[in-house]
Amino acid sequence: MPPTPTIPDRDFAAHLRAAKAGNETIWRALYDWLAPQLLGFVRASHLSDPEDVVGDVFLEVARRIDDFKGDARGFRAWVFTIARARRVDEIRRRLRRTEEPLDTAVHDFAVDRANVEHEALAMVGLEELLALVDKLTDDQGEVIILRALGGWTAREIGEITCRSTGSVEQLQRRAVEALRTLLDAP
Amino acid sequence: MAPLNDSLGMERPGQSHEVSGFLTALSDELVLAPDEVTASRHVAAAAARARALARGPRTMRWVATATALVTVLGTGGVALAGGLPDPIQTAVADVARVLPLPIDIPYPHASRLWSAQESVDKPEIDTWSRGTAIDALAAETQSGEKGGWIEARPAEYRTSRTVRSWDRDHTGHLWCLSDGEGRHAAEDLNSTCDNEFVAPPRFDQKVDEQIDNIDREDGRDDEEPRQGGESDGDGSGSVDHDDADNRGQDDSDRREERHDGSPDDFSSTERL
Repeated sequence: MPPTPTIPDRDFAAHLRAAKAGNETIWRALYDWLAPQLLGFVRASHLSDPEDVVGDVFLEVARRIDDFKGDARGFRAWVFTIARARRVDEIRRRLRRTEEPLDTAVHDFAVDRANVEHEALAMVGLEELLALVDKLTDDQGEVIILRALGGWTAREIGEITCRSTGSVEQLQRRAVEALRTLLDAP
Repeated sequence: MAPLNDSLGMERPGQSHEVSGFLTALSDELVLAPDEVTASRHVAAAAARARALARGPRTMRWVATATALVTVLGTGGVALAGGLPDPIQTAVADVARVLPLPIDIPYPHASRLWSAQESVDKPEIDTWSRGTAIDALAAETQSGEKGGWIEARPAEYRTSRTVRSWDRDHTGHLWCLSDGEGRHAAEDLNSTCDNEFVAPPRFDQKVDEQIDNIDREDGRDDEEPRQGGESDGDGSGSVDHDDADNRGQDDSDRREERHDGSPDDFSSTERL
């Protein structure tokens, strides 16, 4: 279950000022709050060296934090926007190198999850779960991953992915329908 | 996790049970904190970058100010020494002459001469004609004074309009001063006394024309007594000879005759 934000909105402005000044304690709090979800997002995006990517995202956050204005949830969405840019770059790079499979291990996985019980699903490995996500379109998979990671609302996912709330809701519905079909398939 | 059936728009909760379980399992698998060593490294790097950027604007302002100050002072110093590249030195010297500042910024050694040559109505041809600097040096040696006036008539000289003043700067360069129009570099007397001060070829024709114009307009009154005597003496059929023959006529008549004469009529041997 994704952790709830450890920095309440009422304190976030002070935290943001301290972070802009380079207070390492505050940066640690921000990292503990966001890094686990970011790492999950990066792993789900099949980016190589996920932990390094998380480090790069935080460096980029530090570089641009002076430009950020908003509350805690806005900050979290902003950080994920930066991470998503890395995902988009990775997808584009892979599209240019079509001869290279996205992830042979994931693609070799046989999606025969028919009649899988909830408990059983929770026991399967990450690669198997991601193999199902990979059966979705990129847009649907992105929405599902964000939904699973941070409990984002459709509006917040729209902010991260630069889509309208209605578009995100439609992607969610289609993704759920596709997952349901995959999970129910014999 | 939030109630997925609602947030995902599932109309049939019973059928979304597996999807909900799937998302929970996916979240549990994905959300994983980096190890402590990695986390500490990331945090330290991010905080350090934020600190650097927080100090950046103030530091950059100081750096920019210091750089500008050094540039201005350095450029000014080099300009005073006359060491800037030619166009820049000329521009700085021009500005310094316009501004009411007690600063004498020299013009570039050579280029200012040419630019002045092109810009003034009466070109300072003598400042770079053969012999001027030599005669200046000779006069300086005789008088024991540095700077002054000279009326030189070297054999190579093409015109008798040679009254000029000169001065030296601290580097030993000769500067010809003329008609209060400023300083024009002539040549380094220490090294080029025997050199010819010849204008670039592209100016030759123009200078000849200018010399002719000057002689016609106001040179005759000063030069004619001596030149006329010389011409009378040799009896040549040159322009000067014509001038002597026509002595007593009004100026307009003589100018017309000069205008009709060929450029060769102004050769130095005949004039001098």
